[in-house]
Amino acid sequence: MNDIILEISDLSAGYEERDILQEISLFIREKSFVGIIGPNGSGKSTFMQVLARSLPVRNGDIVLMGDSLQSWSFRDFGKIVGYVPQESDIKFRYPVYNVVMMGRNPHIERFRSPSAADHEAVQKALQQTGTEELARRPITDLSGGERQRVMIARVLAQDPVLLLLDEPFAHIDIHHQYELIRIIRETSRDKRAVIGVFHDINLAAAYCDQLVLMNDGKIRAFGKPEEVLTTSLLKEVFRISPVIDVNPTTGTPYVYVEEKWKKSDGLKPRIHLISGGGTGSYLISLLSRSGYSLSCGVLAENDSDCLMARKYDIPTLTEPPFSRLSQETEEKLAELVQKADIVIVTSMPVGWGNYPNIRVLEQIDPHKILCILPSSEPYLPDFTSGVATDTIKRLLSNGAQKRSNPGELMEILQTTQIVNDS
Amino acid sequence: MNTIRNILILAGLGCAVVIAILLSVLTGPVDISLADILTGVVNDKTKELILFDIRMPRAIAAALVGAGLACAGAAMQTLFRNDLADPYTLGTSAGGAVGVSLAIISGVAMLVPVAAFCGAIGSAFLVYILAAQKKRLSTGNLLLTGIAVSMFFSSVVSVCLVLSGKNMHQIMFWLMGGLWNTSWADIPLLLITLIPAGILVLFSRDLNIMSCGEAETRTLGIDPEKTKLLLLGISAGITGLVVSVSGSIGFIGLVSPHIMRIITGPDHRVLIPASLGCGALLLVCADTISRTWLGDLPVGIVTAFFGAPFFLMLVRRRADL
Repeated sequence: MNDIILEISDLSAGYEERDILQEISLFIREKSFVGIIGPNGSGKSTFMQVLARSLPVRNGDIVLMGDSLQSWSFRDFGKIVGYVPQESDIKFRYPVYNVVMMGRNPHIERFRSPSAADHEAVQKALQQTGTEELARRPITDLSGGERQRVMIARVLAQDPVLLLLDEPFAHIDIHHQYELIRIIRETSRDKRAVIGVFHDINLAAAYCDQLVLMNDGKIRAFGKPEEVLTTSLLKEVFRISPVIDVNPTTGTPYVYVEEKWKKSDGLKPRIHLISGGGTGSYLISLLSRSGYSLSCGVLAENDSDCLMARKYDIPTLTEPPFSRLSQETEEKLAELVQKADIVIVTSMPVGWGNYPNIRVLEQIDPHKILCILPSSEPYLPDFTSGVATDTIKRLLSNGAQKRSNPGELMEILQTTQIVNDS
Repeated sequence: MNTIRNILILAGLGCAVVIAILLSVLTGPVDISLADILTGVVNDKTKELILFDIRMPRAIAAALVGAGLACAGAAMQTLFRNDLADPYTLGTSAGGAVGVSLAIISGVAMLVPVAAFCGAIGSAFLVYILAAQKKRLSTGNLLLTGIAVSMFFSSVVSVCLVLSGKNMHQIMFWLMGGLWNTSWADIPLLLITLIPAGILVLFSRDLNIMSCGEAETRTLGIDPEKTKLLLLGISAGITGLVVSVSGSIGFIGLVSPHIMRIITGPDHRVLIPASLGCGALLLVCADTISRTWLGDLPVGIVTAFFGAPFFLMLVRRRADL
């Protein structure tokens, strides 16, 4: 149990009369990287301020490396804990180098000058944060992102055992954001624990060992990113409808927010989409969100178009992968295309397995067929020795329309009057 | 590089102050030439008196008062992280004025310096007590409290002015600030103000960090509450002493740290001594001008009259950067 450097039990704190933080209990192990996430006003920054001692503890205990937080002298406290507040607003024109050197203050004896080791630490921190070229410039002349990098340089020069970051990357561009978080994680693995408040849940999930989810001044959940980032917790705390995917570069959870789409309304034309191999995914999402009543198929069950259709809850005809269309499915398909006001065909790969999807179109009025195809041949990846392409050409010459991008398609749909069969 | 530049600036300022004092001693309604000084003057008792017992202590007092105000001003600007703060932000000027007014009205003009000192220090203490909450002092509260207390004391002074009858001009002159009453006896008192200035230089690293914002001070090894008390105490102490000698002279405490921050940068190790030099230089010049060509007008009027346009110029130039 000796590897616990910070132990918080039953903490409450706040401003004036109101308790913002309540019943906070948490252990931080050394060399761990803990991210704090939560909605605005959930108490994340207040929590950081309490840990940095800029806000007093009202109730409960904070124990830092075996001693109560209050019992530490500020000088020794500064050797152990570093803090980057959300906003630091330096009004005087200190050169960047001097600002970073302030991080060494707890290590320099009073009335002594900075040693060679101190200068070395500052130099290294400037290098790590890419602020070397700014070293001689006044801090007041820098942009918001540059300033934040200087603040991170200062805390790296300070070299604390426990690092507190309050939304440190808010104004920093994506390149430096990833550069800095990697450096911070690396140094955390070597020697220090990091507690960071993150606005970006996915960034926190990708780099933190553990996440603390805060809500209403309390800790709602604490654990590994995949334990905390669950649909139900995110829905409850952030009031969003999350879709939790996997970040392809880190293998960590990745949270999307589901888009709200219009309910299909009966006034718009009914559309049947014939696609495959991902060529229809964008159309499925676009048409569904625009409120068209859509059907799809026939699609292979693992086709990405099929997954997309399922996400939007669209009636879809399916077959097991690589199998031929059964008689029964083909009949259902014929029925769907007959009922549709418009049938859209994409530039999908066609083999003998899904050729019936195209063949069925010869049974209906070619004027209600819309093909989204390249402007010139080959129209589609054809694995039927040209049979599918010939069918398409026949349809086009009989009156089917052809467009080369979905934007044009939307224009046509908006001007199409519903041809009422009845 | 920077260190050498800073040493040169400080040395230059030091020389300038000494030269200004010498020139000031030589300037005045009664002509005394350099030759007179070099030959020992002795041939004229009156000239000797004017030179050594009137002009000399007055010039040195002007230098020390200017230095003290500048140092107190620098401390306040650091405390408030605002370069518009000055030694009187804590109500020291108005508080001193109340003390002086009461002393004059009650007919104990002898006690004016003591009353001024007590009034100034008392006001600063009152502002601190009113602004501090649960051992923590918010500089925003402190600023507002200072303004409120100043306004309250100013109204008390106005009442005193109305009641003072024929003594009114005495109070008025104190309010404007001047150095016409200074003698060698005031010098040791004013020299004391250099001690707190030295303390500020010793704590310059803490002050630098304080001036960058309070949130991170504790994790950078500094107790901000103690540092605030140090700054408050030093500023109030210096201002109280200075005000007891010269009345409340405006503008020097605001403008000197400001000018030097533009020239030397904000590092207190250089800023504090440089501000001392600048304040001394400015007040010696202003006082010499006032007593030589302006019929010994209260020097506070001169500092504001010349200082304000000069300050505006600096502010406008800085906005261009």
